Amino acid sequence: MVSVGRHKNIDLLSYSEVESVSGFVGNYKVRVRRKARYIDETKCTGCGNCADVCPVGVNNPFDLDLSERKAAYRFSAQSVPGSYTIQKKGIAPCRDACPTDQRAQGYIALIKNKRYADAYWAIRREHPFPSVCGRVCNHRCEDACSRGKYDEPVNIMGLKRFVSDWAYQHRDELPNMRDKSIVGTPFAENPPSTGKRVAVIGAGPAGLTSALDLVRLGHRVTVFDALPVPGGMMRVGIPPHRLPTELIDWEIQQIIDEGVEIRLNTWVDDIRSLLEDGNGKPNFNAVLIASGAHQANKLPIRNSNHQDNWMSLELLRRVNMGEKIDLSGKKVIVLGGGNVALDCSRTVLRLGASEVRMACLEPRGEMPGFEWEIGVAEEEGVAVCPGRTFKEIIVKDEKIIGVRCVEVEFHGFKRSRPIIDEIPGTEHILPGDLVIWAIGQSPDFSFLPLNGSISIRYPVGIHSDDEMMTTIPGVFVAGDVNRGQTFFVVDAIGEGHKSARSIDRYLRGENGIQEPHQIPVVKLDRQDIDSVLKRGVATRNNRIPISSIPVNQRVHNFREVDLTLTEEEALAESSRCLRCGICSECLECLAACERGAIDHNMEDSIVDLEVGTIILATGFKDFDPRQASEFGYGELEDVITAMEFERLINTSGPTGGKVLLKNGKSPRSVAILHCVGSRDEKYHEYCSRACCMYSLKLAQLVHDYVDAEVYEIYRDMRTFGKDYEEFFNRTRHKGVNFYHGKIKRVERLNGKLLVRWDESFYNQPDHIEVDMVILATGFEPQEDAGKVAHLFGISRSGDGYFLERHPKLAPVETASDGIYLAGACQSPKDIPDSVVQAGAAAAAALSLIDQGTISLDPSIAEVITLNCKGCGLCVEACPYTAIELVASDHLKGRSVARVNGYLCKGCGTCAGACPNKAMSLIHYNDQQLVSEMIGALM
Amino acid sequence: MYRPKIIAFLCTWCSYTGADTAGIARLKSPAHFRAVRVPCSGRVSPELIMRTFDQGADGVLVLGCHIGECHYDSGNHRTAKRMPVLRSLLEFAGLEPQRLRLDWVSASEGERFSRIATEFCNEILALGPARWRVSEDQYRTVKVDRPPISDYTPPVFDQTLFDKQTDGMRKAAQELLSSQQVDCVIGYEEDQRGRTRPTFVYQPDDCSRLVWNQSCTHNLAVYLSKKLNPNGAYNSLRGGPSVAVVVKPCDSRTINVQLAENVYTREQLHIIGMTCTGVKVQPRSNGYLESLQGTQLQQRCLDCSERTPLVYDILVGEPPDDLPDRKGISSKALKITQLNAMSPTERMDVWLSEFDRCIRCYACRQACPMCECPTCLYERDDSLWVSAVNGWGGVGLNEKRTFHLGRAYHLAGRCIGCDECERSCPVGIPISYLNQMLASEMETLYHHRAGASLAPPPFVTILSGEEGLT
Repeated sequence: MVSVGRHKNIDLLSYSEVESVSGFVGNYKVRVRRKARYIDETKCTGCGNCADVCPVGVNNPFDLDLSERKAAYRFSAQSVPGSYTIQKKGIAPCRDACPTDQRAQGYIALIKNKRYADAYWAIRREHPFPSVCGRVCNHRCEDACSRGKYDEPVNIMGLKRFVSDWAYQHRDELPNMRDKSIVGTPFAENPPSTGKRVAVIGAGPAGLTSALDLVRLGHRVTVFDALPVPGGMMRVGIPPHRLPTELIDWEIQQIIDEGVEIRLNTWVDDIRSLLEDGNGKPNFNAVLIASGAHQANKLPIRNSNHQDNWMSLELLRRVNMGEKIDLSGKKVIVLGGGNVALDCSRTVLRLGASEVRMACLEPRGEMPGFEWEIGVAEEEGVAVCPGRTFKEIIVKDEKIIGVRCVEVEFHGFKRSRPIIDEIPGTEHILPGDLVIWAIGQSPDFSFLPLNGSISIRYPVGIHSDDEMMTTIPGVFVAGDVNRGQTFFVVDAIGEGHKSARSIDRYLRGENGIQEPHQIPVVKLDRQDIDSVLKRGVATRNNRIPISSIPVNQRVHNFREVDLTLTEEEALAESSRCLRCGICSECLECLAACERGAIDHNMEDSIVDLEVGTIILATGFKDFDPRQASEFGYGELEDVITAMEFERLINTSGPTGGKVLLKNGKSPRSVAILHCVGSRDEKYHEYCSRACCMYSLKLAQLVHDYVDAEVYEIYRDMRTFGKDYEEFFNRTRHKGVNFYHGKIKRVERLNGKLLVRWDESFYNQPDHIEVDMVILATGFEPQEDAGKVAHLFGISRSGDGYFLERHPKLAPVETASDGIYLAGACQSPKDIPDSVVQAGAAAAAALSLIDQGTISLDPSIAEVITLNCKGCGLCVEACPYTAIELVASDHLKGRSVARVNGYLCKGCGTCAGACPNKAMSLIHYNDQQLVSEMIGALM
Repeated sequence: MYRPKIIAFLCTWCSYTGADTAGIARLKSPAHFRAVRVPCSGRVSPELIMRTFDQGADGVLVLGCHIGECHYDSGNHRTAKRMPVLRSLLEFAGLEPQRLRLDWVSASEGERFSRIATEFCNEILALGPARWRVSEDQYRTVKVDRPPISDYTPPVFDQTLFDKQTDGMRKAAQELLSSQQVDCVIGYEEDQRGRTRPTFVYQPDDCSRLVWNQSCTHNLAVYLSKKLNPNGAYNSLRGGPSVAVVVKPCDSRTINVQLAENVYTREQLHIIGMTCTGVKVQPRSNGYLESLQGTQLQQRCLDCSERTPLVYDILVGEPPDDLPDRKGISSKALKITQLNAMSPTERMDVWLSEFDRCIRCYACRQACPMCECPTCLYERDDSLWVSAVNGWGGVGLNEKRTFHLGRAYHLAGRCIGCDECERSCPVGIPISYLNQMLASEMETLYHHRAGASLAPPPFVTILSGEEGLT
């Protein structure tokens, strides 16, 4: 194998599939799909570092699933070529759904392996704020999760929070694996400076993400923010009972540590001066506007300017900045039905408000806030009043006493304006003395140049092109200010990454980083999921929900409401993952590989080969004894196939060479049953030839190494080859028991396996009790043998094996010239026979190559062009695609059939199909056949 | 003692070797066999089998490799698909179906060969000599009953409907001609006696000649191959002039068949599709229906539920939706059932009586849009397929039958049932029964309807499913 792999004239295309074959002998064109290994064969040394760190275990087919291997694997220790392969079906739907390209399957796999630090850094590769998105995300990954098709999606957000909380708790001993976590990205820690400077306006998720990416690319970045704290809406827009501020501060500190300069309390109102310092020299080479949407909206209704109308963001900002506000005894009305309104309602409740009402336009089922959070708010004491519009704020004695509302029928939004019908006679007053407006947020554009050089897409955000550039070159935009309204943190982070790539391309031209390339997404259907669960890849447990602290312990303070998963819960939840992509794309291997051989974006490639001859050596498939219930395989423990036994007794096998029963003990007696699936009308009529001999070998192995009594139950001992009979005699003299019989049934009896058989010899038993049964399974054609035969244009015999041209005179040739057979794809055979046939096939192929010419059978089809009408029925009928339609030179260009004499095998199917008998077969033409027939009738 | 003459076509790889194996094993096979070796059962053409019966064989046995074991990959698949259709055709014409048998014998199955051969011989012995090969006085001329005529009264359509369609058709034709998109429009016009006939319009001004009514019976696709290839050469590979043609729904399927057979390319053709309310019985269409001329719909229209062409570029008229579903009321289907119920001998007498009237004028062939062969197989002077017993161009009864059955077989899976052959027959042979019987056979056996798509006829494709049938 190794010498084949190293031979300079042999191109070994492993992990490949033939897609199509065309042409004819001497001129075959073979199209081969080389499947993506995700590891560069030419660089991989086979050291196995990738497999060591891979968190994904899959069944090992080399050990017949008796052991596990990793998603990064080498088929066997002896494999040629020795390079590793990553088993990956594509990217997981969770990654596909996430705007930040977060590899959720990756960190879930690492959590399952208790590698929490690795998981934390795997998250941070794409996501600088894990603790935020572990809490306040709308988790599109969970919506896309394949597990949702079976029961409920994996609690991906909960797992992310678990990791981020774990990292925060262990922050002092957390290893700095920043350099590892950016392997495989275009980023670097402390990269060489590019000498370019970038200004970022706004220290929110979009601005900071972009700033971090740019710093990692070697640019100098300064972030300006008008607020006294960095973090933008994450820091001042989400109340502490949902997102504790210290976590955010810790994560932002990490960004600052990487070299991002943040200038707080700085209001930028001259973007031009950022780009130029007035002397024609650039101050900053590029500017990113990521100022967010920090203006809450209100309706121009009567008394909406009264001082007790508070704005949602104002309230949240004050609370988050640590201001003590006392609302005890106040009756508060929150106007709005979204997540901000919910945050406000729950915040004022914590500030001591005695009554909180939340009123909005949409009916209960269509409120934009998360349904679960509305429930939680109600639980805490917020009264939800949906389905009404607000007509005026009623003021009496300079104090607000309520809001006049009318119930409405809601018909959705059109161009962000609601379509409603007021219901007459439903006017009423919601009582309250403080109104909080939470009906939406919009960006503050007051800092933009007054001359309109940065144009605004009124009313939604700043105008930007595909590269996220505004109407001033070098000025980019990302985040809520780009969209013109509040979106989710993940969207902002996603846009932060995207804008960083755009800015890098702007600054460095062609050297800038390109948009990431995506391989296809894996979609599991219900059937796939069932088989995954059946194989035990994932547990069948129910989803573990996030639990909360009791209502009475939380409504009057800002303690975080939701609890993190415990370690046990996290481990249980992570093992629910179905591992859609198989490879989890955690990219641990990327960091472990010292040769840089791993490329997770590899794609299948197509290789077109021009060859003269083809040898098929596609082998056989082991008979699956599950079909033959009498042997009890799959139902009874300790009934194993010969191949499984081979792995068990192999020192590099799953048990290190120990033959053990399921209960861990050594077997004291072993029965080897012959002819499983062979020589049986129910399964295969043919003899599989190799089983008798390998059974004898197994008998000797058991006898010599297991020290158990061995019984061979055989039908006929077929020891046909050189030295084979001697081997049989040797086995017999060692003391192996040979009983003649045809197996009737294997069943369990008193902890033993009872084997019964018919046709026993006189004076021999017809049953036996043993500890272990080994099934000498026969051969079967490969499952896709039909497809392969069709692909190469060869035939199969009735048993499904490839058909040789003649059993005696042309045993390695096929009906297609230039295609030869070797090994068990042609019929069951043992290794010596396979080697002999392979040699013969090679010699036959070589003699053809050496001659350089071929001789053809003279009996081929010919066209009588005068009679041909060019209908093309023969083209359809030809099994060898040897006929084509051409424009005849003699018949005024009439289209006629033409036979390719190299491809034609002379079957005459075309002549049978031609309605006008314009197609004939040399030596079997119509004249000859009719004359023969007439003569025969005389 | 009666010694049947049995011809066995044996595939050289399996069955011929199988026969050898039987011989080597000293198995007994009947002595009435005359084996003809062929490379593959796919080589055995239906014409050859018909010819073998014509020459007086009492039985024909075709043996090939088992399905999936063909030495030539799938040659036997084609045989497996042809033979059932040929057998039903011969059966319909009066041959006992047992006289034609297709089976599979592999090279090692000597015992199977001997068993099949003995079985087949015994069957033929039981049947006695075939009456297939006849001379004029050897059969009983029977008066063939005409099938009952359907009492269906077709709805009377307002003339404005047809005027509107005529207008639309003229307008479309005019535009195509004046924009020089096409060189010629093939449509219908009225002659001086008020009868509707095909016409060729070359000038935009002449488009006013075109008409549309319920007498537009002709299948205009018959002119296409000549018109699109003015040199008498088929230019499907090189392109050629463009022609517009007016088609009914049934005619549109003709175009699909012709396209599948590369008679011309779709680009050469501009199809003016007409929605159809059925065509009335025309003068000279089957004599016995003459009384219904102009009132009753043609038999083929009685069974048809297609209102819109399957393929067209311009559709003229709204599909009429108020027509009742008339399926299954025609007398043609009924007559086929009647024929099927007869004994083979009776059926043979019926058909020989019909074919005896044939004068071999070939009007049916000329009227058929599918009969495109440069020189018809049955008109060649090599006496290969029709014997020269009666001299060149002889009109022997066997030859007439061979011609009609051979033509019917060639149309199986291709005939769309326009019945132009029957309408043009001067002696009123009900040719359409053969075609219709085979068309329904193709539908039941292979779910194939001629011209429904661009698929080739099933005879030339492999059996469905990877392993095929056995």
